[in-house]
Amino acid sequence: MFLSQLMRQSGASASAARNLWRKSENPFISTPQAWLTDLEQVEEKKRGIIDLHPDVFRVAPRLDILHRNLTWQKVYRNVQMTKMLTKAEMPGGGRKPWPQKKTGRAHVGSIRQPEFIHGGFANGVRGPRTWFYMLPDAIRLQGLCVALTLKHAQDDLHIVENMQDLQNGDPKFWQDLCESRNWGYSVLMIDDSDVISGGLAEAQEQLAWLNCMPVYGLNCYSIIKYDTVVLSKNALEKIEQRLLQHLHRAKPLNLKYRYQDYKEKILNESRAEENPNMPPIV
Amino acid sequence: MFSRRLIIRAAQFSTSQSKKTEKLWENPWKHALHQQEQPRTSAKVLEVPIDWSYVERLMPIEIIPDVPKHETYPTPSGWTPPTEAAKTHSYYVRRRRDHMLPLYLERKRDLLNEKTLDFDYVELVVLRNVDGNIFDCENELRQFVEAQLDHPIATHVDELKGRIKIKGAPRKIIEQFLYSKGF
Amino acid sequence: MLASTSVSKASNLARIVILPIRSFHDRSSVPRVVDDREKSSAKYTDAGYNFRYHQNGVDALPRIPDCKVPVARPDFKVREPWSVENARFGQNDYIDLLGDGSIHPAQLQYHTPTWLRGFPGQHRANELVKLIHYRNLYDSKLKQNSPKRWHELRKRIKYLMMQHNYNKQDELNRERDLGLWDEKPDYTFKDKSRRSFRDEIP
Repeated sequence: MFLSQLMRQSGASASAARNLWRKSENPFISTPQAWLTDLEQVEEKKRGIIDLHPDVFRVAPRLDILHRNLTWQKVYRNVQMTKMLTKAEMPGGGRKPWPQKKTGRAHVGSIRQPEFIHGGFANGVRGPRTWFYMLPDAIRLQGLCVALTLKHAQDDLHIVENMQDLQNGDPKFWQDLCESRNWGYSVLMIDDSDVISGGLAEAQEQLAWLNCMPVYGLNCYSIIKYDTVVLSKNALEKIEQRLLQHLHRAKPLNLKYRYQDYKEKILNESRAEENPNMPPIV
Repeated sequence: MFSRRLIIRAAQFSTSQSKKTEKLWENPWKHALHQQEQPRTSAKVLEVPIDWSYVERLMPIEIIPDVPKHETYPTPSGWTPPTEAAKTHSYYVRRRRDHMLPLYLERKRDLLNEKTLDFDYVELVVLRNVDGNIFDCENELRQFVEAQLDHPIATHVDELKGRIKIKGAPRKIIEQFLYSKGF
Repeated sequence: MLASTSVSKASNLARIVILPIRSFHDRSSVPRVVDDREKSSAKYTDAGYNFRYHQNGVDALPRIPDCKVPVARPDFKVREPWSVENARFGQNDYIDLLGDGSIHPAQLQYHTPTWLRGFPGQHRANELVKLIHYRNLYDSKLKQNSPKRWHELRKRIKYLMMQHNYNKQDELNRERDLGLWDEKPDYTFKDKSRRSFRDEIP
């Protein structure tokens, strides 16, 4: 809201097609452009050309940052539920099996010692173990920009006018469409709203390689995983607005994630999942 | 006294009941609904026009605002906006998002000092957001700084990231260089 | 050519030659009772080891020739990169930046136990920190309804506390950076639930 006001105020911009907010006056970066097409028929018809913001679609291809993002996405959700019991937690083992001395056997105090075959584990995997961490916002923002830049530079990013309420929901039609436009094996459609209706909704239920996501579902892993990313015009504007809003935000970009800040919210949300009397089994 | 009260109560009860033809307990729902249907008297709300601009001024800033126009540059703090001359070079240094020069200080551990047995540290200045021919930028920067300092400086260029690391020069001189080029 | 060499190598490996060789000082001086004199004196001379100097490539695995029993190997795992959950892997990971800012990906970790959602992982918060967090949350429930687990938890925390105080003192320094507790715990505060991990619960 605030950003859109600001965008309207500072109207001066080089591009005729779109008003690019806070575009840098850097003479070495030309404004990236993309064809505007539609999904009504199989053949690609160019409806116009659209300017993209260079801060989002023309950044330095920092593959290291993209790799950090991809690694984070793979790792941060991991959970290991294995718990190897220690000798204290194994049942029994309270009695000394044989006297300390004069038996010729090892001096042991419990049958659950780690040396025993059915003993407890020393230094085992303990409990639900997570690998959760959050990358700094700056890295995640840059990762998104790099992924979008790469897709655009490789001609795998397409802009369409509309995705809602398309006429044709025949999977064959969509297969032909992607085939004739040379969109590769898999296609990711990104739209502004989180509800999609019409032909595309029918087709994406039939075809495993064709998927739709809302703008807030966009992420580096999917951008790289899918051969082609198709944005609707509204989605493009929203993505640019959100990314630029964060890139120019007054708060610092290296804000640290603190569990304290989200603890109350997370625990309140999950209250219904918990047994009112018993603590969860670790 | 006691009997009198009773009489009064009975009289009241009888009067209230006599107004309605139907008994209260015959259809209590109707009675309750009838009560609700009566027009509610609510206090009238008058909206007073308040000038919120003074409060809005105190709200936290979400997006870094544009710099207001000044009569003269440099401003008393020494800040200057980028000029048209900046676009004439073979390289371009972009400002930070807070309209400042992209100069950062870095401290790096050097060798162990054998006399004091403490680690020495070197102070590096990092110039970021350099586009175009970054090696031209490094050459001109070096000439400018060495003319001012009368001793050679060490630089390292990272072309992919668009960064130049400078060792042996204070940040102030590099700032002067950037302002002199119009960035 | 390559196949023939690998076959010959495999047959070499499978062959174990036993020859009655005796050398000096390879027996104890005390005579032992053995079940078979031949066996006691016989020794392995060739265990099938091939010196692989100047041989490029990878050695063939030791296989018994003409053996019909298939080599044990894990079952082939069918990966489905375009199944519904895999096709949408990573969705909403950037929802705090691209959404309206009301949701954070830490809230969406529905596959983790509730008390570990958004809690720093084991490479940040070690087991001790994690168990203290669990204890602080389910303190009363444990005491009331599962005293054995409460006992075990306390034993484990006590053990880990000793471990970290005596053997791993360097690991607890970074614990303050996690943002789990207030920077300086209020020792004088009367509310016991706000106590820090430093305090032993009586």
